[in-house]
Parts: sequence; structure tokens; C-alpha cells
Amino acid sequence: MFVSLIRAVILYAALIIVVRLMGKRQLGELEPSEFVVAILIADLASVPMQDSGIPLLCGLIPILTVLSAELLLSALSFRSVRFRRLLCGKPVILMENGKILYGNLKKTRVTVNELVEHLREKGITELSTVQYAILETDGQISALLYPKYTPACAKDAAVKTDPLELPVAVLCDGAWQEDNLRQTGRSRTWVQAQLDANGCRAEDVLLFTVCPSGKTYLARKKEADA
Amino acid sequence: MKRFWLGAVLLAVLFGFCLFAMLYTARCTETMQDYLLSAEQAAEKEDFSSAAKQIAAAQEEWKTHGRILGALLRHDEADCVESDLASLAQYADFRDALDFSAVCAGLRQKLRHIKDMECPKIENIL
Repeated sequence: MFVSLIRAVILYAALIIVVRLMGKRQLGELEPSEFVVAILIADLASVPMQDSGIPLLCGLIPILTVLSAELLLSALSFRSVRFRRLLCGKPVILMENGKILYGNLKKTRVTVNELVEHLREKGITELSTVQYAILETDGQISALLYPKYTPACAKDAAVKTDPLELPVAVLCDGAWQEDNLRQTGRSRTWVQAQLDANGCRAEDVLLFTVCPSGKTYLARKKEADA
Repeated sequence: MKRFWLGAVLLAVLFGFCLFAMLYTARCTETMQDYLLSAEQAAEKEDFSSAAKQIAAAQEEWKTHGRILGALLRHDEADCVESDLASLAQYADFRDALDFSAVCAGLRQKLRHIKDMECPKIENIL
């Protein structure tokens, strides 16, 4: 039993490392090769985890092999458009200028019901408002509305807006984020002064962010619990 | 390019490790087979003390490499080899030539099988 426990921990750690090394894409929408890897590594890990008679290496070696293949393929995809197309395919237009392209639906084996369902999930019920619907390589359907149906933005309304600022977290869960603090060009003393003005200690801070303009945001741990 | 080199180096390391596993297993099993062959020949000549010494040497050889082989081989295969060696030691003590030869031949075949399983042959892959 101990053996199974230790193997499970080792394989779990190995999987975490492998998924981490493969990159953030694996956690979001998956390309075909990434999808294959995701299925494979789970199955490969489960075999030695369940059967103590199988050497642990019989699980680790295939997992690492799949990882190295994925790293090589993703690097090659990045360098070569042709290879990328071969591996991932290319996007297919399902609707163009409001018209459903039946031939492309047939080619991609997407039924019209599925197309309508995907559009509905994006809040689009009126197909006449869709200028383009594109089946992406990861299986998602992107919908681009005619400009007259897209929601108005500040520019359309000629409304003057403040420039967008990216807040930087300098305190997270009571811990100082030194790299981020350096990035803001502020000092600990300045941050402490802001906290003192709010009657708060650094240890009690859940999140404290600073914008380039000096605007701050404070969330305390106790408030978050409430 | 960093990912490419990481993938390439990892693949090379894995390939090197698999090659090491194949050669190590081959070397161990061949040494064991030599001991067993000598033991079998000694038993045929009714020289059971010599046969017992060869079996003891084979057991020592297996024990020496046991930790690494335990990580490379299926555990039931490794256990089978150990139990057959123990049986051979007993048959040598009881001077039972027939059973000794039978188990010896079977064990040599198992060791041959263990060595062959590590080789990248088409029958193994398919």
C-alpha cells in the first residue's frame, strides 16, 4: 500500500511538472496535438499507479517521451507556418457575409444545429447579425458581427476616457512582491504609508495593487472572509 | 528555440537511458546464463557441490544488480528469477539432477526472454 501511495505522489508530481513545462496553452483551448498529449499522459500515469508490479519507469519514460515530442512539435510549429498547418489544420469559414457556407459545414462535419448552438452560447440569436463565423483550429467557433450590430464603444459615443492602467500587485496574501514593487518605482515606505492611512498592516493585506498614476486598491483578509 | 532544445535534449537523455537499460539487462542476464549453464553441466556430471557454488554465484550476481533490475523489470519477472534460483539451490542440496536440469533450463529461457524484451525488435514493438 505504501508503494502505491509513494508511486501516486511521484507520478502526480511528474504530471504537474510535465503540464507546466508544456505551457499555459494546455490549460486553455487545446490544439489537436495538445489534446492528444492531455489524454495520453493521464492514461500513462494511471497504469503504474494502479499496478505496483509494473516498474515506475514504465510510466515515467513514456510520459517524458510524450513531453519531449510535444516540446519539439510546438517549437517546430512556432518556427514553420507549413508545419503548423500540417499539425493543427487551418481555420474554416462557416459563415461569410451573413450566408452559411454549407460546403464548409459539410467538410468540417459541423451541423447547422451545432453552429446555431455555438452562436447562442455567445449571446447571438439573430444569425442575420453575423458577418463571419469561423471554426478555429482548436474547435471553437468565433463569431464576428456586422459593425452596425457590435456594441458601441467609447470612441463611437465620442466619450473621453481615462487611459487604461495596469494595476500591479505589490502585496499578495501578506507577502511583499519585491519584483512588482520595483516595477512600480515605489518603495516599501510609500506602500506602508498607504496602508497606515487605511489603518492596516502588511500581514493583514489580501491584495494591494498600485497603478502607474498612484491609484491603489486594498483588500484586507478579514473583509474577504466576511 | 529553448523549447526545441529542451525537447531534443530530453529525448536524447531518454534514448540514452533506454540504451543503458537494454545493455545493462543484457549483461546481467548473460552473466546469469553463464553461471546457470556451468551449473547445469556440473549437475549432469553429478558434481552437485560445484553446481551449488555456481547457483550461489548466480544468486550473488542477481542480488548485486537487484536494485537496478528491480527498477527496470516487471516485479513478477524479477521475483520469478529469485524463486527459481532458490529452488535450484535446494535441488542441488538434494542432488536431484532431473528437477535441477528442468528448472535450470526454464530459468535460462526466462532470462533470455527478459533480455529480448528490452530489445527494440519489431515483434516487441508490435
